[in-house]
Amino acid sequence: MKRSYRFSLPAWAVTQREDYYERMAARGLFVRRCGSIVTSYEPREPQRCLYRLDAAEERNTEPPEEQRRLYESCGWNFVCKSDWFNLYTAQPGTEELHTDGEWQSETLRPMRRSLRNDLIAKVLYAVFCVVLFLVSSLPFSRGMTLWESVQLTTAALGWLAPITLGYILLQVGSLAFSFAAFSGYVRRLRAGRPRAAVSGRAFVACHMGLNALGVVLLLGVFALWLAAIPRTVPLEQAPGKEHIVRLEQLDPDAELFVGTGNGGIESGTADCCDVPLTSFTLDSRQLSEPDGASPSLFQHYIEVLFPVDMQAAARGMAKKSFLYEAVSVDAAQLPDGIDFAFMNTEYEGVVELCAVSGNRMLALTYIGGRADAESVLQCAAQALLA
Amino acid sequence: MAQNTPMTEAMYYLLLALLRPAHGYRLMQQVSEASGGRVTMGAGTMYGLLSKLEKEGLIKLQNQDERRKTYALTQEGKEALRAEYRRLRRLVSDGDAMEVDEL
Repeated sequence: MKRSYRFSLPAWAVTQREDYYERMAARGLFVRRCGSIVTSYEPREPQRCLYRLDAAEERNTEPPEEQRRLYESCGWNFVCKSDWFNLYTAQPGTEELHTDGEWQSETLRPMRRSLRNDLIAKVLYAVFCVVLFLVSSLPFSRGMTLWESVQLTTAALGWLAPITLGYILLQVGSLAFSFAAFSGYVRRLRAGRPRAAVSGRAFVACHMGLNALGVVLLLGVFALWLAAIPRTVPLEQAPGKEHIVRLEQLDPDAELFVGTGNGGIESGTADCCDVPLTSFTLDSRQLSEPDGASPSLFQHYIEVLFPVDMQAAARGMAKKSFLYEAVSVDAAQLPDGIDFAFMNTEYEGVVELCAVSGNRMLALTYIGGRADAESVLQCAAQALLA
Repeated sequence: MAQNTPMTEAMYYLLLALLRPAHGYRLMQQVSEASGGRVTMGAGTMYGLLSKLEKEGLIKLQNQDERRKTYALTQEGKEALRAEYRRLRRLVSDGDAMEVDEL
């Protein structure tokens, strides 16, 4: 007969698992092997029988021969090992495997300790991720407030940030719930109620739902990471290429660099960002020249997830991406159509610029060329207004 | 340990049953007999307690064949049982002195 497989219930849910296995047996599916993810069942004639999980002496070990024989002499037959437990089955009416709840609770101590350690490790991991997230945006050295930095970094990561955070929180919450529920079970045992009447049905449904959510989130994170990997595409196929201004036209010998968003200064020729006021995601693409020469251009498309003050965003972009502190360009010097701009020309041979027209933003760094700041500004305006 | 801390009922009856050396399953029957059927001991509880008592030196392995192990009380185990017995007697005699039975 064909074996059947089901998602395993969590190891700590002792009574729920026992209840579940008993219901499966009544439907003709008998546990054959308990894995941490999947449990396999053997189809046989439906039969009412008892299942009990007994703490193993050591994790993932089968019971010693003597213990097996003693249990068998009392009607309990070993089925399989299951992480911290060994699973036994018996006919209805057999004397309970454990008649002293206090002693049984003692046997569960190592597992409770392990759950607690897992929980602490997971909380530390979550804190580490948050700290890494904050540190990665380096807010303070560029004069941004922490909140501005968090907004920009979150925007740069797009959906990856909330989904990753959601996944981590789900894991921490799930472990905290496991620990609390298992501790409650141990307390009930200690109080002399070894078999609390716990129906596994709602629990199983809830567990399966959370598992499915976890899998979806995990796949989402994976898909977003895949999507975030820079792809090399021919220049003529680049989305938004009409906005790209080849600064070589200004100065063919110049060494040109472009930088925006979270990536700091990137090599390339020009960068143009569309900034709708309702969404904010950053999509980086590394472009190659038509002849397959080395990559020369990074382009970022930005959508804002939250209403944003364009002037503040441009100031933030300038502070975040530029090597040097940028200052606001005097309104009288701005080309027609440019609302405002931030520029740095303090370092010889370098022009850093972030200009905004309406809801579009362009940021670039021009290094080592002969074009002056005014020409670069004109070029930016040409790109933005194209 | 057992001399200072009150024993659980299961532990007390298990030590009582071990006055006659026996193997696990026989011990379960002896516990039931010694308590007049009031105390029954599951296989899991029995096995766990035997391991614990052996570790604490209150019982020892007397004989081991291919199929089963026979346990017996050690001197320390006998003393612990005697101490618990005396403690229980004191509890009862204190109750008698206060004529609890007449309440």
